[in-house]
Amino acid sequence: MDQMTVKRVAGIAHIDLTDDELKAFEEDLSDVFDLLMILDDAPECDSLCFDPVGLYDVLRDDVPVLYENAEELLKDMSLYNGLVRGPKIA
Amino acid sequence: MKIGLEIHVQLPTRSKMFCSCPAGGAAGPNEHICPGCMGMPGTRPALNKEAIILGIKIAKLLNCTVPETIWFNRKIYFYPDLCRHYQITQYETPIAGNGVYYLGKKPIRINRAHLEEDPGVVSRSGDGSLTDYNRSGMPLIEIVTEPDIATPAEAREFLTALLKDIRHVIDLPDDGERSIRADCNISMKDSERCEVKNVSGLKNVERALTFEAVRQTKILKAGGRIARETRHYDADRMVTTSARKKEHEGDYAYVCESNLGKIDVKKIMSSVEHKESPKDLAARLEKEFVIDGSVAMQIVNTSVKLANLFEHLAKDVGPETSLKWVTGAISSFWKMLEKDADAKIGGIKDIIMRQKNGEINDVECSIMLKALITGKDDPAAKNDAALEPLIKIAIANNPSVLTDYKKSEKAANRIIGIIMKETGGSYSSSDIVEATKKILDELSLQ
Amino acid sequence: MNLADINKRYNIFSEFVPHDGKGFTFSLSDDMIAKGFQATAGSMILEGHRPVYDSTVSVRMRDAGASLIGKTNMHEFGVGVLSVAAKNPFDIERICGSGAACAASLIDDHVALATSGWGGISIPAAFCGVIGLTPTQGRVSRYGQIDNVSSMGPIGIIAPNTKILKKYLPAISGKDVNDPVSCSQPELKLGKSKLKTVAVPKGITDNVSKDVRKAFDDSVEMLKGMSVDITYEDMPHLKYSMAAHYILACVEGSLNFATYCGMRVGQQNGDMSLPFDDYFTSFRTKYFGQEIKKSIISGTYMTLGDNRNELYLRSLGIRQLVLDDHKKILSKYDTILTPSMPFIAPKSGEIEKMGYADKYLSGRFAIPPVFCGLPSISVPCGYSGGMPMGMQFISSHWNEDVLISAAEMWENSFNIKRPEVLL
Repeated sequence: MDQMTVKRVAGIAHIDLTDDELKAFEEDLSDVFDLLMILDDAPECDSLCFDPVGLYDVLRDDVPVLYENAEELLKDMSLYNGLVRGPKIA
Repeated sequence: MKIGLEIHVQLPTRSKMFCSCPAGGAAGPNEHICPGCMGMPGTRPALNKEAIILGIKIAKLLNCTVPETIWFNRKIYFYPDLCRHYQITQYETPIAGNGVYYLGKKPIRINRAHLEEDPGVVSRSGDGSLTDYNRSGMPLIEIVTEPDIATPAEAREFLTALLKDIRHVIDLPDDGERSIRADCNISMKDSERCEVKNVSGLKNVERALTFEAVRQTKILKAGGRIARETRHYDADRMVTTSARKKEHEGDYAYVCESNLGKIDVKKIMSSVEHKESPKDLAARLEKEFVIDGSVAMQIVNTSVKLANLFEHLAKDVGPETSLKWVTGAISSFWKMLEKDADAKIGGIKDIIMRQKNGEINDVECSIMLKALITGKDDPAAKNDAALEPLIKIAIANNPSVLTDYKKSEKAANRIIGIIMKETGGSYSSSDIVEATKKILDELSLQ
Repeated sequence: MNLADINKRYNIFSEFVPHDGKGFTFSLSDDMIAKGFQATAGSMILEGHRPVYDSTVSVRMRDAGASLIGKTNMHEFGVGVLSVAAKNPFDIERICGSGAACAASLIDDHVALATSGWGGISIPAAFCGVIGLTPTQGRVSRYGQIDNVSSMGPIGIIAPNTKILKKYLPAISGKDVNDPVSCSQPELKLGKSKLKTVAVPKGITDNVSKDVRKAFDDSVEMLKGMSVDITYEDMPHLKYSMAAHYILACVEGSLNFATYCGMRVGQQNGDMSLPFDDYFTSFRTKYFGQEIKKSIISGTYMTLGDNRNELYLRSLGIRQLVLDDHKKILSKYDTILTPSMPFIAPKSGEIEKMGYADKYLSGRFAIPPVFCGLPSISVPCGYSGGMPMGMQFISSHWNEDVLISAAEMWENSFNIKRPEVLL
C-alpha cells in the first residue's frame, strides 16, 4: 500500500491524514500486508463462513411495541422542532 | 431508448424490519424510534419474519426464483439519514432473482428484487439538515428491472400495473404514506446511461424520464456525448440536475451481516399462501370463460371483487349472460354495490336467472337489479337511471359502435335505435339520444 | 489499599463507584453499557456517551446478586493486541492488556467482564495471572456491547478463580431476544465433563520465548501426571488464521465504526453548515485514535472493488478451513492446548520498538479460537521473574463445561500466585 492508496482509501473512509500520519500508516500497513501474503499459498475454499457458529432462522414475529423513552434517547442530540439537526446536504 | 427501473416499495408490516417500533402512523417526528433504529452502539438487529413473507409473495408475483437460503449484507453509505452509516440490505442472495413481468403481452425482465431497510427522511434547512428517523428501519423491497422499457409513458404504464398487482398481492394500503420511489436508468441508442435517483411517484417518474430523453436527444443531435452520471429530479422545477457525485461514491463495501445469520426461506415459503394477482386473474378469466382479454382486464381493473362476482355468476348462468350484466347494470352501480356485494349476490343471481329463463325482459331485469343494489323501489329506479345500464349493455353487445363513433357521431344512431325498440316508448327520444351520446363520449375517452 | 488508591496506581477504571470490594463485585469493560455510567469503549469519539438503556450482561449480573463497581479501561474499541490501557499488577512498569484483567487480579471474588474480538480475554488474563474464559460466540448476549468485530468476540469472564467463574457464567449465559446470535445456543450444562484427552498442535512453541516454552512443556508434563493423555497433532491451516482474522476484524470494524460521524451519538454539534462529507470527516479525523484509523483504512481497502473477492471473501473461506481443522481435532480430543501468549507482559518501551505486524502476531494463540467462534480458557501455568504466563484450552462450540472442569482440575494442582498489592 503506497501513500497515494492510503490517502485515497482514508478519503473513502472519511478520515484526513497529516503527512506524518500518512508516512507512518504506509509503513505499518505495508508491514501487515506482507503478513497477508501468506494467503496466496492457502488452498481455495468457497464457503462464506461469515458466522462461524452457524446461526439459522432467528426471526421475530411482526408485533409492534412502542419504545417509551424516545424523548430520552434524543437527549444528546441537537433538535429543531423535534427533528435531528445535522450537517448540510447537497 | 432503453429504460430500466429500480423500484422501492415499502412493505406493509406492522413493526419495523429490525426492531419492534411501529411501522408508520407516528403523530410527530422522531416518535417511533428506539436505540435499535437510531443506530445506538451495542444494539443488534432482530429480523421481522413478515418482511421475508412479503418478499416471497412479491417474488412469486414477478415469476422470480427464490433461493433456498438467504442472508443480509451491510452496505456503507455516509449520509445524515442513515443512522449507522451502513444499510442492511441483500447482495449475494436477493429474495427474488431472474423473473419476468408481462405488461400486456410485452415481457419486462426482472433482474432481481431484494429486501432492505429504509433510512430516515432528511431535508435541507437553513445552513444544515433536519432528519426524522420515524422511517428509519422500515422494510423495503427493491425491484430491479432489465432495461426493457421503451418509453417514459411505458415506464409509467408498467409501474401503474405493477403497483396495482403488488398492492393486491401483499395487501398494501393506498394511503400515501407508503409511497413508491424509483431510480430511473435511461440511455439513448449506443450511448451511455444516466441514472435519475430517488424519484417519488408515478407521474414524476414519467416526467423525469421524459425530461432526460429530451435532454439526451438534444445533446446527441448537437453532436455531443452523454456522460455516464447520477442525476437528481427536482419535482418543483420538473428538471433533472447532475448530482455532482464525488469520485469514490461508487465504491461500496458489501459485508455479510453475521448478526442475523442465515434464513431458510424454503421452509417459510411452504407456509406462504399465494394470492392471485389481478393480472393473473384477468388472464385466467379470459382462458377459463373464453371472454375477450381486454374485457376481462376491464372488469378486474374496476375491482377484483367484481371479477369474483362475474366468476360466481358465470358458473350458474353461463359466462355470456354473466358478462352481459356484470359489464352492464352491475358495473354502472358498482360503487354502491361494492361494500355489500357478498350479501346481495344471491338476490342478483335470482334476478338474472329470471331474465335468462325468459320470465322478465332486459329492461325489467335492469330495473330490478338497480332496485336491489340501490335499495330504491322499482318506479323510482325506472324513472332516474335504468336507461344508462341498458345503453351500456347495448354498446357491449355491439362493440364496433364505439370504434365507429370515434370517427363519426352518426354511429350513435345504432344504439339509439336498439334502446328505443327495447324500451318501447318508456323514455322520450331526446332523453335516449342525450344519454347515449354522453355514455359514448365517456367511453371514447377511456 | 482502597479502590481509589488502587485505581490511581494501576489505572484500572475509567469510572468507578466507591466500594470496599467485599462480597461479589463485577466490572464491565468500557465497551459494555451500564445505565448511568459513561460508555466510551476507550474512544474519544464516544466521550460523554451515557446510554439510556442497559446491557443484558449488566442486568443479568445484578440480578445474580453481584454489584457493579466500575467500568474498566480498554484500548480504543479493543482493536489490536498489546494494550497499554492499564498497568500490570505484578509489575507496574509492564502492561497488563486491559483494566478488566487487572481488576480480576487485584480484587477478591471479582468478576471482570471483557470482550475478545482481538483476543482481549486470553491475552490480558495470561499477562495478569488470572483465569479468562472466552465463551462460544453467541453464548452470552452482546446486547449493550459497543460493536467492534461483529462475527466474533463474545463477552467473557476474567476472574481470580474458577469458583466464581462457575457461579457467574450461567448467570450471563442464555438466549436474549435482543441479540439473535444468542438465540441458537443449546443450554449451558456444567459439571458433566472431565478432562481426559488433550491435543497440542505440532510446533506450537516454535518462536515463543524460552520461559514460555519451558512453562508450557512443564505444564504438559504435569497434565500427563494428572492422567491426561497428550497427543501432538497437525493443524495445517492454523497458520492462515492470523492473516484472515486481521482482514475480517478490520472489515467488520470499519463498518461498525462508520456510525461515528458527529451525529446522534458521542461527540456532536460541530459546524453544521459544513457539507456532510466534510463534517463527518472532521469528527472522525479529530477523535479517532491512530490504531482505529489504521484498522478502518485497512478494512475499507479490503472490500474495495476486486479486493472484496481476493481479501474479504477469501478470508471467509479460510475461516472455514481453520474451523474444520479445529473441529476435526476436537472430534477426537476433549481440548486443544496452546500457550496463551508467546512472552510475558512486556514493558511499554519494549512495545514501542515492535513492528505493527509483530505486535499483532503476538496474539497468534489467543486469536484463532475467537476467529472460529470456539470457546477457550486461559489459566496461569508458570512464572518467570515473578511475571505470570498462561496456557489456553480450546474446546468445541458450546462445550464450555470441559474448559471449566480443566481449569478447576489445574487450579487444584497448580499454585496460582496473587500480586502483592490487593484491595
